[in-house]
Amino acid sequence: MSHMIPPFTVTGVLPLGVHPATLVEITARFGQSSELRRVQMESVRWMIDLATRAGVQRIVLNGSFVTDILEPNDVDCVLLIGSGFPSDATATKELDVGLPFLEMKLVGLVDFKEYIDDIFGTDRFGVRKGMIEVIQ
Amino acid sequence: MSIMNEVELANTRAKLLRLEKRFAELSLDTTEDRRVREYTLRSLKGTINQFKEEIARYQVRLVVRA
Repeated sequence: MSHMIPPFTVTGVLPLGVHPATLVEITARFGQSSELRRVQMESVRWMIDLATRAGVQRIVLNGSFVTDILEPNDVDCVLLIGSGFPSDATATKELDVGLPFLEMKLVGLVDFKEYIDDIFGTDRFGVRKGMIEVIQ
Repeated sequence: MSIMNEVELANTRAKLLRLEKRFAELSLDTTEDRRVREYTLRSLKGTINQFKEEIARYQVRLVVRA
């Protein structure tokens, strides 16, 4: 199944909403246009693998990585965890240590929604913007 | 990311206030799963600290300019 990541707005961000996309689609759209983006994409790929093994339920990507900037600063991520977390101690330990370029937030449901709706969901001018949800 | 003007400063401060309120609430909430609560508090604290640093850097730049 193909999911269309929408075009950027005039300000270079995604339109409002959480846009589902597969790893292949994310790579094609955000992970190839510069060497820095290719390296950041490697971190994203590694994080998704670790998060899946650790029992993370949902992964949303934000930050300059999901904008039209050629060389983003970082990839902000919010990861939904639940009562079964962590399901793999080794993967969780690696997530705890962190990954290059990734700013990860592992949170419960209430705060997952808060990050999406407010903390990550608006830019510094208070304008709402879009994000990417990683799907299988 | 750095704060560039007063509008961005106000929005960052507003988010910071909401995060600090939520952090205080969750700190007292013992109904949440222990591990989920620990990770969530750590993440909230990280964002709180990030916003505080950005606000401080902006204010320092203002003083330097003045």
